[in-house]
Amino acid sequence: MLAKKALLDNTYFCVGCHSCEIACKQIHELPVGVFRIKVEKIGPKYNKNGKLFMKFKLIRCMQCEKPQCVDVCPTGALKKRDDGIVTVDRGLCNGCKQCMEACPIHAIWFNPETGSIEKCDLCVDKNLEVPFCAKHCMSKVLYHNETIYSSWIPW
Amino acid sequence: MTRIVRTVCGGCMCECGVLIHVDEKGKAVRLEGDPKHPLNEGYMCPKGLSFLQLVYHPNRLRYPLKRAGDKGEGVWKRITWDEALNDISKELLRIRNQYGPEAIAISYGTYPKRVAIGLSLFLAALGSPNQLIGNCHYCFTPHLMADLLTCGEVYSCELGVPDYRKSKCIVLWGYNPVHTYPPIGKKIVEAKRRGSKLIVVDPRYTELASIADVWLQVRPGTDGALALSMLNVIINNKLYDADFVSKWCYGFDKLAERVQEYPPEKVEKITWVPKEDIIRAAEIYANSKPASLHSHLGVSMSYNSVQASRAISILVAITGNLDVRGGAEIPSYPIKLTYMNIKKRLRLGKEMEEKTIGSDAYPLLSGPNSFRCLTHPPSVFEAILTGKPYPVRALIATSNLAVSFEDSKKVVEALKKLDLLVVMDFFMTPTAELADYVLPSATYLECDDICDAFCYTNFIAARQKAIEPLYECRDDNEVLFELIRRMGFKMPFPVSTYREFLDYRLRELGMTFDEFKEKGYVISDVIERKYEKGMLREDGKTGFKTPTGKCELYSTLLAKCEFDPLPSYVEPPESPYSTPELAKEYPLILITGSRHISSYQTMGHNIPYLRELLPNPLVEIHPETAEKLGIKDGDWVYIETPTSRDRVKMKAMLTYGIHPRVVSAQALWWYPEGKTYEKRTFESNINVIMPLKPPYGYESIVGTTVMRGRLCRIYKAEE
Repeated sequence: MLAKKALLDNTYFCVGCHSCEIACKQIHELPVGVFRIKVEKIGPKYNKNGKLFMKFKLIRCMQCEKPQCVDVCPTGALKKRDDGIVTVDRGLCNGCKQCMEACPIHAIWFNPETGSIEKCDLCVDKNLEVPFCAKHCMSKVLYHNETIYSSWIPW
Repeated sequence: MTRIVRTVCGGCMCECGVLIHVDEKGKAVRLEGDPKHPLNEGYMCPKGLSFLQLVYHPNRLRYPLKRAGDKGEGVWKRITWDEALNDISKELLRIRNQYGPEAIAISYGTYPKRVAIGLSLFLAALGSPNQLIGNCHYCFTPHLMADLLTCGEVYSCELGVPDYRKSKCIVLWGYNPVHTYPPIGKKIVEAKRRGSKLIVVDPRYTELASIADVWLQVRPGTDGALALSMLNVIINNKLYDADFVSKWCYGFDKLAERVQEYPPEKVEKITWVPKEDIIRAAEIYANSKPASLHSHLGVSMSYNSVQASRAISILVAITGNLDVRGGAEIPSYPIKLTYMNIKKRLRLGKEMEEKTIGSDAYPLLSGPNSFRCLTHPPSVFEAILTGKPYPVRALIATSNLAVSFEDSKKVVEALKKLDLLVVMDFFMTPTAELADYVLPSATYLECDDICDAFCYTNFIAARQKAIEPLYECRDDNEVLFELIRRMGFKMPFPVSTYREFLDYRLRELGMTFDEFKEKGYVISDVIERKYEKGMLREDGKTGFKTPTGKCELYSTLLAKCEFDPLPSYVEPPESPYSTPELAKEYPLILITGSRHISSYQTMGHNIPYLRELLPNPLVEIHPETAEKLGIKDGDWVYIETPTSRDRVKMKAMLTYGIHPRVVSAQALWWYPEGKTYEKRTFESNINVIMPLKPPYGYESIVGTTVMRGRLCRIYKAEE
């Protein structure tokens, strides 16, 4: 089962505009080299059938049901909330980076300016209804739960 | 308490709606897309989203500066605005009295379109016809010219962005809006998700090509042949709108005869596009109604720029897509005093316009009989350097000409030769470095304005000051109005400040600028098929603003000026077919000018978030080609062209998204962090190896310099 809330995507239509990445960096004031969501381009290359393709992967926390990052966190800075969102308490984080190694999709980054880790918490730390990245998605491929998805798409 | 100001982004010429969060100290702290704005509907691109890094950049120009050493030496003296404006107006008056107003020119690029109004008024008040509007000879003008010749309106390029939700088919021709017009890219992806067909014509496998129904990988420079072949398919299979053609078009029979020269079998050999794909694209486009077709630099930077654009304009017309929703919409703004119309009102009269540089060679581009009376930009630099037809001695620039024009080294030489160069900008760019006076500009957050962007089609939006100008920065428009006053010239409109001019422009709506700010936008009804209603011609008759009153497939104006009145294709002057010997030495076909979403023209390379997206200038090479050349992904390589002794250094990006015989170099690169002028301005700037005066000549109608579809060679750079 997925988290009650998670940043989902349908990346078939992602065109790699990077707005999610920059929107996230702006609102969370992340320095160069540090992310909470990152766009990765795959291709253009040929698939098995000889057809050229290009696609984009959005690397960010999936708010796992059994988050390994929370399990390994020695200080209790990482927590899974009742609504499923995995949050980080920057006051408690000691920057040991064990969570970064534990994360199977490499969706945790270390912020040298604050000495703590950065990961997607769906902008709950900014009290936003809609995550800032999803708000600025060109293809509307990023959304964070079913209700918002259906009410949000204007067509 | 944070307040939110609704305004309009100025990160590029799209002009998206934006909400600025301003804290109690008056500092902008957050910036987000405005969900209510009709263009972007909440979307913002990376350039817009990182704009606060530009506003609060540590290197932003803060005070007016006067040169205190040799040109380009980098020795400056801080002066007051009063001193700067006094000195500049005195010097301009001296030059005007001594050499005539035509010795003074202005230049603006596409970013400060809002500055364009101030500069145009300034130039008109001064009485000079010489305006360098960006690189108009290969940017928007070929399309503008083609559309105006065909039906007197502009619809196939930047203007007339259609309601894509209604388009059954969208054709993007040498146009990659995801990177260059992101809010339009958003609308196109949305339309595609709703089921529109998408056809992409591009030598590069772009993001939109990857989700397209048909991708035509055209050989650079041969778009004209491809468009003529699509016309061939559409006409021979009777897929055109027969009703529209018989009622509203002129010269269909002659066109039908001409397109017989371009059967898909033959054009496959010219364009390298399989004939089945040409036929399929033509059929999908002609059978979808309404269908939109927009083309851009891919076509207008080629040797056949105007004629290829003409063929594209005609494709739109004969398929009945002209001025219909979801097709090619002809804009109808709610006010008459739009940027374009202001410029029309500022025409100088025959005697002065005859002096426009370029008017002798390009009568449709420059001079009294032209549509817009622009200059031919390379000829302006020639005029500075050679004094022919007369010397240009002063230039007021709000753009980064040292990087953005072909043959940058020669342009720099010309800029150094000027008696007076005034640059208004945010940063000390390679152009500002050569200036006599550098004036710090206010960003869009620090200005009021009326936005009637090219992409808007049927509305205008209010830009309002969100923060007070930082340091001593000033709104360029106000500065230019002040200069007109100080020089004692008559203002072309009955106003004395730019702010008053904003009120003046809104008079017909019966509102002041303050009331307009409250509203945010004014939207007018979209009226379709204005030609049927007598809304396009000045005499109020039905039809189009052309000599015959019809949509001219056979152009009477081109015939009059002794150009080919029907669209045609000629092989680019440098190509594997026209110069096979040269192609042995320079075996690859070069595209210059491909853009990336992280920069807008020459802006963005010093913005940390944007530079992170694209740290190095890239040249795209097919892996098989690279292997033969011993080049690996990420290697630094040199690019050389036959017309230049210089070379340009870029980083190789290997991709299957390009033809093995084609390479694509990114445009407009400069290194703000570079230690020397050479490194900053020339090292990786592809314009360095483009000719200001090509040995084989310019395109004949608007004087396009060939920037796409040239020959080049590439080799690995020693580390």
